[in-house]
Amino acid sequence: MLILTRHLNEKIIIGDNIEITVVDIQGDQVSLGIKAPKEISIHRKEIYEAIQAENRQAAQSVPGNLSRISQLLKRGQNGENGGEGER
Amino acid sequence: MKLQTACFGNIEIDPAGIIHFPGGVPGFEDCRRFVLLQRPEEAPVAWLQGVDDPDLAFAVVEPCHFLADYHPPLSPADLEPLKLAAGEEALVLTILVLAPEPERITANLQAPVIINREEKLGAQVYLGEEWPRKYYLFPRQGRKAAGT
Repeated sequence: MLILTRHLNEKIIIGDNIEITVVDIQGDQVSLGIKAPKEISIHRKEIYEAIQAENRQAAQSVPGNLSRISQLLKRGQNGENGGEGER
Repeated sequence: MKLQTACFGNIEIDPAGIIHFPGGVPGFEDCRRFVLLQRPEEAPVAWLQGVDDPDLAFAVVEPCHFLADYHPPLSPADLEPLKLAAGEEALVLTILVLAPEPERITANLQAPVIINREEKLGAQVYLGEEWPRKYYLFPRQGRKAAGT
């Protein structure tokens, strides 16, 4: 990992089209501004990894017979199922 | 064009139906092209089938089929790469984790797939920690009471 030290308002450029600015520093919290091409997604790392893991689990859970789920959803539209969420 | 897929075997797809995901999706960043396939007996559930990675397929469904009020708030940063204007109609799909037992099937409401049907552009958008990554579509009766 390359480690660079920056002061407030200083910038880092990655390649020729990704730019990171130290926008604010409050105690141990740093706010970073990021300019990048719109096709590059930018996430807090732990969030990105959680979505990755969820997607991999989803991809590994197929193939499956979807007609069973289809029936359950159609029944549910008559008010028989109640979903619930968890993070 | 022909595609040798893991889920559907050898299939013929219409290149005009290919949807472009500029960054792929998290976990599958190199798969930039998908098609949406649906078998009538499986509706409303559909498949988001990878074109660049034919072994990749996600079971997807529009959340309106199991949730009355899911309106993902999309920021300008979400809309712009999809060439969507604010308030413009997009196709919203949630990726399902399948399981043999219905009570284990979940939909990812935290990171829906948003598709601009006209421009054939798509992306998986992160909404925030307050949205559930695992929304159980068919919880067993009394599951809440058991405190799980």
